[in-house]
Amino acid sequence: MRIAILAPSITSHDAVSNDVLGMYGALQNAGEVRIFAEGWSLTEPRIFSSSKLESFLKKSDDILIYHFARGWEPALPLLNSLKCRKIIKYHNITPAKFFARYSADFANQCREGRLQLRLIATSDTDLFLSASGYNMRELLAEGAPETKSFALPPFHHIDRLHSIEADAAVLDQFQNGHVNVCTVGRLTPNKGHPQLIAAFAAYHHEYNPRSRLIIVGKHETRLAKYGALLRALIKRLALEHAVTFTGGVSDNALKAFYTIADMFVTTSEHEGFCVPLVEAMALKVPIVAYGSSAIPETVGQAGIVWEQSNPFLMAESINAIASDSSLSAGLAQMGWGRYQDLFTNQRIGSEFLSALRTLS
Amino acid sequence: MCSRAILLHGGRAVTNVKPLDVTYQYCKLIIRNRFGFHVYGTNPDLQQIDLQSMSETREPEIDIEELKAGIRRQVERRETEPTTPYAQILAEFDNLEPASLTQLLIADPFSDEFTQTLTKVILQNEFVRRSDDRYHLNDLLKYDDQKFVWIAYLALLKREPDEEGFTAFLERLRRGRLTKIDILARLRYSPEGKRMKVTVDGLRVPALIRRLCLSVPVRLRTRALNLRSKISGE
Repeated sequence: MRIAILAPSITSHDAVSNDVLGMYGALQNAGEVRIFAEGWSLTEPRIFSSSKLESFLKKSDDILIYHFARGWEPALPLLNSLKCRKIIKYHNITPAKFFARYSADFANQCREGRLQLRLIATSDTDLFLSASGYNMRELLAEGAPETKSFALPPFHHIDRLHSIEADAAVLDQFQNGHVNVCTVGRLTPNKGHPQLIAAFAAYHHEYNPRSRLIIVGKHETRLAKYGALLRALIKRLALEHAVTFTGGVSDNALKAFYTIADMFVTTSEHEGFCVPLVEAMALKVPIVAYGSSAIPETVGQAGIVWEQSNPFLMAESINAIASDSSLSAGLAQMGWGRYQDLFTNQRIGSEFLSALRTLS
Repeated sequence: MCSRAILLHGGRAVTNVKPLDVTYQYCKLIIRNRFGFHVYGTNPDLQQIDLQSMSETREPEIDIEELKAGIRRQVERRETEPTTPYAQILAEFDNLEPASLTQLLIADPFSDEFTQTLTKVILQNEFVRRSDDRYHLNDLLKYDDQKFVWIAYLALLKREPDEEGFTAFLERLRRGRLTKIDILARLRYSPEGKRMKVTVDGLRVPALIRRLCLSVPVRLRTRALNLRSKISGE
């Protein structure tokens, strides 16, 4: 049996790519497995051009696993023409409204992806795997059959984070007695950075000036207007010396940021799962979050999740954790427990293989 | 070293750390422990760490709803007015018009090369996509450097460049490793470019010639260069 895992692109430091690589690892004993993409920047494992996919999947019991995270024109013709068994892994598509003010291109990509959602949900697919229950409900609403739908968290690179050293330069720079409030994720408008900055401003000015906000994540330069807006907001709130944008970082630096973080805070307005929350749990960083989209089900009862993104509630939550080490330790422990119970790669791998066994 | 230290084991704070012992090597060992040791820093007052004597402990689970109710009460009890109208400022920024955002971008002191190009090309409307998706090679070759790469993406892929592609092509163009023809051909004949079906009159033949040139084995090219050097007496 041949299995093809397909995604439009495979790159490093990318949640969808990590999920693809995790599946690739989990399927090593299941048959001949290959990863296909239109563009990629990794050299290991070997990735094949998506144009070669049809010649690889020839038999009816072969399997195609397509990772659906954005609009990609070739996907539907492939799904319709291939005679093999087909699996969709749905990572969610950010609604275009978040990007409309900043980039017409980005907004169009999201819009096209959303238009494909219904076509994919009603396509001739044998299994729909969604990164969260939130994503699954979206697919069901668009017509995917419930009997073929499962929620399956994405594979991640946390085992690697556990095994590598934290970047010593980052540890040196940020361990100076300040309270470090950290967030991790691409600098995109759906992540709600303005709300986070306002909440941090309330904490910094009203509770503890010896604090800093560290925003870890790759800048998307096509969204330069969003970056400019954040910097203007920071200036308006007199936080120039208290907020750090790290840009994209190495895994060693990422581990160091989680190490020096007193808490992980997110006010993201749209997440299909939010892998950084699981990273924070696995690295024992207490969580404060605005409970939009899939965030409440990812965090569960292992963090402080608010139904509204109120700067004062967030600031008071930050203060509660920063000023009470037993609360901080307790929340960290609850996150660690949730990670162990639900989100280890081992557990995700076994759920993934169980889901595959339901294929006829 | 750092002034604040919390060493966690199984969710319980342990304060037995000797500053000299908490080197990064030591931290690394502790962090690597999958049972959950974390070192956040060191404190001069702390004493010798003794991992052997530690035992797994579990804090009682925190009742999150009770904790949130307490936080809500604290917020309500705060008597002092906030020094800054945070929510109001946030709303102002949320409602900024596109033109104001453009002004913010132009004034942004942190804008990098990519952003500057965006400002020049997009905001000044220097290039407008053709509705019939048909260009002549010279329509694109007239631009240079950053603008050329940006406009090549706009014309051939009908989108702005991603940072990775922009930077890679610009760097190769500047080093002379790729010509403008090479970049246009790579974009036009990429899987994405083929899907866009943009016509560039005059591109096919020079692109083919360049492709043949680039595919000549390196050894042959080196020999040809050596020969040229001998002839010219360099």
